[in-house]
Amino acid sequence: MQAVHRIFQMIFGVIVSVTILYFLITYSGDYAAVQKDRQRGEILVSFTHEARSVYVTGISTNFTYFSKYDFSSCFVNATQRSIPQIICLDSKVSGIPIETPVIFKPGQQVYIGRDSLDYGWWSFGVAEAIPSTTFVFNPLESTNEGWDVMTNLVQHIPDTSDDWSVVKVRFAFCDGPQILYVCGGRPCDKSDFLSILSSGPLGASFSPCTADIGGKNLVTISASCGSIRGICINPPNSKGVGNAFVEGSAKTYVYKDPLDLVALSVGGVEKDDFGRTEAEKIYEYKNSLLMPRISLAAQVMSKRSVLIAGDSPSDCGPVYIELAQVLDKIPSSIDYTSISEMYDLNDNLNEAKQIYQTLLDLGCERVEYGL
Amino acid sequence: MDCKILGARFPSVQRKGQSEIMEYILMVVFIVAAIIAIIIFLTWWNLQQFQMDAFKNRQDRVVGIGQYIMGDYMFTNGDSVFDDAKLTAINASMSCDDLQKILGTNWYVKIKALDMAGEKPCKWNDYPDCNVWSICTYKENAKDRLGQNFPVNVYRKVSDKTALGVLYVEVYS
Repeated sequence: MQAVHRIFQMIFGVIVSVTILYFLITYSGDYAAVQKDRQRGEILVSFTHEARSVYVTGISTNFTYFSKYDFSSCFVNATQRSIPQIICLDSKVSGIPIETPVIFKPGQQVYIGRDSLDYGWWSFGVAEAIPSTTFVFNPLESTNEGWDVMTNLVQHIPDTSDDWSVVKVRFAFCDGPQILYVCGGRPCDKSDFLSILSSGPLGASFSPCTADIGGKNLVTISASCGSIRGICINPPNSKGVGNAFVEGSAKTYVYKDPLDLVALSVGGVEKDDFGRTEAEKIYEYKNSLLMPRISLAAQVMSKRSVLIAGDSPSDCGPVYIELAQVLDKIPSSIDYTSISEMYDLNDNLNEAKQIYQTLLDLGCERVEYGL
Repeated sequence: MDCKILGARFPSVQRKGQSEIMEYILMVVFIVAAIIAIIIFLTWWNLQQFQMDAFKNRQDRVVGIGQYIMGDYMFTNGDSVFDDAKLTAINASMSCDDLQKILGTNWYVKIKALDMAGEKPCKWNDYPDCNVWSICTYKENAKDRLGQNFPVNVYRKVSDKTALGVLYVEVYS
């Protein structure tokens, strides 16, 4: 009986131990996975909070929690039906809603700053969250238009020169096989680079960039973007509209404001599993957000102008009506990929901005509330 | 004698063996019960955390909608100062659907300027003698309401004065 008991004890012990061990390992594995997903979710949610905080207050910040896990496949996706969401292609944690407009390029640490497009009568605010990057410019023609493109682009990229910023966004030139660090042999901060750009092209002409740019973002400015590396931008026409191209993509990207250039340049040429570049994703998100809002803001400001025209001083009334008429020309649905629609849009926006400036000059609108 | 002794020992060995098996089974049952209890506790803890997160998210959404509206130049003149003419124009020109595409569904906003007694809704023809703007409709039968008041400024365009006001944001399911 002792022997039978011993055998029973052994078999029973082995079966029970294996069962318990298997169950514990499976459960702890599942528990760890759930906790990891939870933490990923928490990190994305806290990113949305930080972005909103920067959007509201304008106080820039570093966001460093992305270093805990891999968020490189995450991007903000806008749809027509609902509010935008942060989508992460390689994770179950996805679809985190984000109301704040944010130009987001993932990285281990990102700098979040605020930027805006000033239309005079309205302003489109956006948070920009970008990792440490060096933008390498390759202006092939020595023209003022080309240098204006660079100036416009750099002005709308966050300034990370503060000591507390762990993220560094810097700038350099590329000329043929050489990367030119024009700020004492090192990449420039935003303000230094802008002061170099402000002196104009000074007859400087560059050769197409053949240097090894490593992880830097190459931006070529040229009237002809035949065989391109990185991002290539045609200087805009008199209406402020132009085309841009992304290496590895057959599409032509129409740009009509500096944020389009920022979206393309910050995004870069990296592709996801579906063959879409980061540049394309950020550009599409930015425009799916901006275009409907311009239309809505134009409707609201047009109605507002009509509403107050009668109650305003006599010289203001006709100007308000004129502003309403121009804003009414902005259609409710705008195709941002159509260059002709962008011509019309920019014409109307520029005209409305001028009329609004007249209202400010006449004292019809308070200057301290001007944008 | 020996047989007797053996005969006497044999049942006691059997009983001892049985009791050891019982002891063993009992121990296993306790261990399994303890593991199940830990698992139940951890699952319950996780569920509590998710419920708390859900509540926090709703509260956060209220603050988010409030902050977004205060920061958007479609509603304000900058520095979180609401423009009464813009608010009246929004009510006249925009549907709730338009704003729901920006801020999601199931929310309601009311802005009240405190420079007038009582509440007079701002319709197109009542402007500027009115002081309440409602964006999206207040649903009486909505469930899980969560709302918050924010102190704001309202710029009165016609009189060129700035009044104190209250922004009320509510979300529901």
